[in-house]
Amino acid sequence: MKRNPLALIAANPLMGVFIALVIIFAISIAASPHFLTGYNMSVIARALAFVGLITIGQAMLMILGELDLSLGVIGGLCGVVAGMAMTSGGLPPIVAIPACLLLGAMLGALNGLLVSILKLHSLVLTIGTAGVFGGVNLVLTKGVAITGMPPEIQFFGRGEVYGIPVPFIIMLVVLAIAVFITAKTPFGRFMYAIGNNVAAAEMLGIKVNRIRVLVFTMAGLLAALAGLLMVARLGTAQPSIGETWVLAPIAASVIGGVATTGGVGSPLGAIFGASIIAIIENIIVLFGVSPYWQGVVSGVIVVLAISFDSASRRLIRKES
Amino acid sequence: MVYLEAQKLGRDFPGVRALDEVSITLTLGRVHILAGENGAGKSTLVKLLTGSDTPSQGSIRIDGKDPWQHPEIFETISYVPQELTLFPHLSVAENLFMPFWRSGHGRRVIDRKGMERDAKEYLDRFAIEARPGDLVRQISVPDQQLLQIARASTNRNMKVLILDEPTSALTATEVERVFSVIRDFRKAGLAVIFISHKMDEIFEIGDDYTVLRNGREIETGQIGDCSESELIRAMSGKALKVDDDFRPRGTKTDRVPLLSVRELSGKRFENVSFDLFGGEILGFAGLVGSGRSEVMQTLFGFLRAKSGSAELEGRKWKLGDTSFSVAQGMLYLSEERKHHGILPLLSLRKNIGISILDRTAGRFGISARKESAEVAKVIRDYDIKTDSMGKRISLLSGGNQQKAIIGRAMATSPRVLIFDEPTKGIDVRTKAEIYRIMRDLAERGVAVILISSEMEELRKCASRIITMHAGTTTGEFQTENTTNETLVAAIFGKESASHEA
Amino acid sequence: MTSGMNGLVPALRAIAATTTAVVLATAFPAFAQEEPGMEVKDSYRFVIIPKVVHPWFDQVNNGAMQAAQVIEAQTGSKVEIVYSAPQQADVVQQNQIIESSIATRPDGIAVDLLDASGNRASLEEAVGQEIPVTIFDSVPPEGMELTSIGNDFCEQAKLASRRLVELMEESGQVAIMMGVPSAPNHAIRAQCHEEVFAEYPNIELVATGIDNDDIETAQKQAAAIMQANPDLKGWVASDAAGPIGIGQAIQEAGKTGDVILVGLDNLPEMLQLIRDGVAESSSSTRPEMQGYWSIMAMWQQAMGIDTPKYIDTGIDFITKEDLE
Repeated sequence: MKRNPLALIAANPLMGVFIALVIIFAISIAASPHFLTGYNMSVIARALAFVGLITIGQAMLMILGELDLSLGVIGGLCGVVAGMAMTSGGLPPIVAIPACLLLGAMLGALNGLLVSILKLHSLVLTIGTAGVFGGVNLVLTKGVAITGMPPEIQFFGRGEVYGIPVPFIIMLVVLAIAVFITAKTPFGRFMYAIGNNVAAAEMLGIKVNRIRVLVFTMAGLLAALAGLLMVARLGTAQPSIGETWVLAPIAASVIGGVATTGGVGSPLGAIFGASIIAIIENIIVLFGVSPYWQGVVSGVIVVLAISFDSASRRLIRKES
Repeated sequence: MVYLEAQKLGRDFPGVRALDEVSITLTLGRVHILAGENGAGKSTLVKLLTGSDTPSQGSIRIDGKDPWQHPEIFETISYVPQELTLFPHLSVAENLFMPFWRSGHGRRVIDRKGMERDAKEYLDRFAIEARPGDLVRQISVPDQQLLQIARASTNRNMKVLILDEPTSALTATEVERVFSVIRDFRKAGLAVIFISHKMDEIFEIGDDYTVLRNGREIETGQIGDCSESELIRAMSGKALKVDDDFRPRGTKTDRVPLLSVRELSGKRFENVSFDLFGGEILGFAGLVGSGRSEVMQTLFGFLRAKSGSAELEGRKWKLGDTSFSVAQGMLYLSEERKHHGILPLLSLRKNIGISILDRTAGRFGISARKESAEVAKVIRDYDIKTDSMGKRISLLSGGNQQKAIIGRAMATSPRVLIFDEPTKGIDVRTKAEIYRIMRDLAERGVAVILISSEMEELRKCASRIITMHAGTTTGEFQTENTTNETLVAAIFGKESASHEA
Repeated sequence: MTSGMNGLVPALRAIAATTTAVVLATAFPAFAQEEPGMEVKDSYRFVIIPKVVHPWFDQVNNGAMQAAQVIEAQTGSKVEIVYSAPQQADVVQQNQIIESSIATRPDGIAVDLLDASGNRASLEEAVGQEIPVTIFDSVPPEGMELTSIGNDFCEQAKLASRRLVELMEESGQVAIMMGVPSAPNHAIRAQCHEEVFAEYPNIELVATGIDNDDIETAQKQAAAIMQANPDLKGWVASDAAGPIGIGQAIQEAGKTGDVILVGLDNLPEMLQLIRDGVAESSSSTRPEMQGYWSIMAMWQQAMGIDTPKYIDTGIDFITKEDLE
C-alpha cells in the first residue's frame, strides 16, 4: 500500500475537520496582526468554553440519534435559579451551585424520560419543553436580570490559571471525560449502537431507555454548568443566557462530523467544529466585517469547512 | 381465447438462475392460479409478464404481438402487489386515479368534483366502505386491499389482472368480496392470475394452474383435474437427498427441557406452548405472517406478551426485557439483518466487539488490544471475508454480515439461540456453512430454534418441527418420520394429528 | 435593572438641566508637550458597537462618519470607524464583540449597552486594557466612571404624549405601543406616556400593545387594538419600529385623519408617515448626534483629555413643516 497523505484522513475521521480548523487558524494569523495575541486567544477560549459545554452534551445526544433543543434554555433557567438562590434566597454558593447543577440534570432527565415513555421524536418534544423551561424563566424573572452575585463565584467565570480562562479549563476537563466515555467505555459503545440502529441495540440486550435517559441527564447537567459559569462570568443572572446556544452547538457538531441521524462522530470533533465557529466569530470582528455581511461571510466559511471535509473523504474512497 | 403466451422463459441473476424454462398461457375469461413456495420464482415470472424485467431466454406474445416491439401492450396488464402501496395521506379518490392524466382527470388542474363522482362508482362496485374524500390511512386494511385492486382496474385497457396474495390480510367475508370482484372480471372477459398459498381459495376460484418450484415449472393443468394433495406435493417437491443432513447427532429427547413456554400470546399469535431441549435444533415452520417470528420476538422480549409464561431450567423467565434475555444467554438473530442486526455505520470490529465488552473493558476503558484479539478470533472462526476489521460492516456482503452477526452471538457463549430465516438472501455455499455452524452449536449443548419458510432447510437441519398457521401451532413433528406433504398441509392450516414418535 | 434605571432618570434630568447640552473640555491648564491633547497622532481607529443590527444604529453610524470627516479635515489625522453589531440582541454575543474588539487595540470603543450589569465584566476588561470606553443611548454600570451620551428617554416620551393630548383637546381614548418590555429605554418611555395620560381625567388609556421592536408585530398589534376599540383616537409608541407599524395599520384601516399618531424617532418610514399626514409629528432622539459626539468624546479621551460624565444630545420634535 502506498503511503498517501490523504490516508491520514481516512484513518481518522477527525482529521478532516482538524485540518480545516488548522487552515482557518493559519489564515487568521496571516490576515490579522491582532489574532495571535495572548489576550485574543483567551477571548476565543472563553467564548468557546460556554458554547463548548453545550456542544459536548448535544454531540453525545446526536451520537445517540437524539437532539435536545432545550439545552440553551436549561442553561438559562439554571443560571437564573442559581442567581435567585444566591441573592434573594440567601443560600451560599456551595449549596446553590450543586443544587442548580442537579436541577439541570433533572430537567435533562425529564426530557429523556418523556422521549422514552411517550416515544416521541426528541426534536419535537424538546421544542415543547424549551417553551416551558423558557416560560418558567420569564415567570421567575419577568425578563429582568438578577444582580448582586456573591463575588467569590466570579473566579469560575472570570478567573485565569496561568493565563488560561477557568471556564475553558473546565470545558477541557469535561471534554476529556466525554471523549473517554464515548471512545473507551461500554456505555459509549452502547450509545453508538443505539444511534446506529435502535432495534439492533435492543436485540443485543442493550438497555436503550436507561442509556437514553442518562445521556439526556448528562447533557442537562452540562447545560446547567454552562449557565452557571456564564452567571459567574457576567456577575448577573441574565434571563437571556442560552438564547444563542441552540443552533450553534448543532452546527458545530455537524461540522465536526457528528451526523444528525446518529451513530457517528465524537465530542472532540464537535469541539473542533465549535472552535471553527468561535474563530470565525472572532475574525469577523477583528476584520471589521459589516454586520450586514456577517451572516454571509460566516455561512460561506462554514460551508467551505464542511465541503473540505467531505471532499477529502470522497477522494479517499476513490483512491482505495 | 388465448391472450398471453410465454414460452420457455428464463431469467439469470449473477450466480443464480431464478427462472428456468417456464411457460404459461393465459386465456381470457379464466382465472389462472400461480402456486409455489416462497422463492419458487413466482415474483420473477410476474415481473417478466408485466414488462418490468426482461427475460434472459424465451419469448412472450401478448395479443399475438411481441411486446418488446410494441411496449404499449404491457399497459393492458395490471399488477396488484401483495403489500400495500397506496398513498396514506391522500384521499381514496386521489389514490384511485393517480396519475391523474392517465385516468383523464386533468393534466395540470385536478378536477376534484368529477374525480370523486367517478370514484363513487368504483367504490360501489368493489363494495369498499369509504367515501371518495376519505384519507386512505383512515379506512380499514381490507378496504385498502380492495382499493388497490380497484385502482388497477381503473386502467381502461386492462386485459390481464395479476393479484399477488390479495387475501393474506383478509377475513372470510372480505375474501368473498374479492372473489365476487374476480368473478365479475372473469365474466367481463379478462384473464386473471391469482397467486395464493391457501388451498381452499385456490380450489374455489381457480380454472387453470401452474406450479413453480426452484425456478422451474413443475406442473400445469386445470384445477378440475387435480386434487389438493397432488398440488401440495407438486409445490413441496420430493424427499431430500441423504447427504445434506445437518441435524445434530446424539440428541436425546427424554431429558428435562431447557426452556418451556406455556400458553404464550402476543401480537398476531395466541396460546403457543412448546418445550426446547439443549442440544437440539427445533424448527418452526410457517408462512410469512403466520406468527412464528412474533412468537420468538415476544419470548426474547422485543415484543410485548399479552399473556403466558416461560421457564428456563425451572426458573421463571422474565418477558419483555431483552437485556434480561441476553444476560440469561438467549439470543435472537433477526431475519431483518438491516433493521435488527447490524450497526451499519460502525466497523466490523465494533459490531462484533459490542457483545464481548465484559471481557475487553477494564478500569481504563475498553482495551483495543484485547478487543482486536477477540474479534480476530471470531473473524477466523467464522471465516468472515474482509480486508480489515476496521471496515464498515455495511460494506461487507450480505453473507459476511450474517456470519459476523452469528459470530458476534457465538462469542457470548449463548445457551438458547434463535435463528429467524438465517439464510434469507444468502448464496448456497454460505447456506451450508451456516447450517454447519448451527449443528456444531447444538452438538455442544446449545438449544437452537430455527425459523424458516423453506421446508427443505427445516428438514435438513431440524430434528423436530413445530408448524404454525394464522397465529396458532398446528402440529409438532419428528422430521425423520414425517412426509413433506404432511408438513406443507400443516403450515397451510390443514389440521392433522401430531406425529409424536 | 429597570428599577435602577428609573432611579437614574431624575438624576440624569438634573444633570441635563445644569449642564449645557455640550460640554467637551474640562479645562486643564496647559503646560508642556507631555500634557494631554498636545500630541498629534497620524491615525485613530474607533469601534462602535450597537445593541443589534437595526436602521436606527445606521443613523448613529452616519453621525460617527461625519465626526471622522470633521476631525480629518481639521487636524489631518486619519480616522477609521469600525461598526460591529451583534446579530441578535443578546448580552453574551455583545460581550464577545466587545472582547474581540479589545483584541484589535482600538483608540476607543463606543457601546450601546444591552444590559449595564451584564456588560460590566467586558467593559472592565476594556478599561483594564487601557482602551477608552464611551457609552451611548444607555446608562453605564453603577460605579464605573464612563462618559455616556444620550437623551432623556422620559422627556422624549412626554413630549410625544403631551402633544397627543393637546391635539385631542384633552379628551378621548388613547393606546400605547410598548417596545421590548425588558429594554430599559422602552420601558421608561411607556411608563412616562402613562404618567402623562394619567394627568388628564378625560383621557382614557384603553390598550397597551407589545411590538418587540418589530414593525410587522407592531402593525398586527395596532390593527387588533383598533379593531377592539373602534373609538380609539390617539397612539403613541415607545420604540422606533412601533410608530411605523401603527402608521401602516392606520392606513390599512382607512383611518388616516381619524386616529392621531404622534411618533417616535426619525427613521425614513417615520418621516414618510409624517409627510403623508398619517402621523402628525414625531418626538425623536438624534442618532446622528449621538454617533457624532461618541466619536468626539473618544477622540478627546484618546488624547488623554477627560470628558464629561453625561452629554445630552437633546430631542428633535419633527412636524410636517420641518420636512418641507
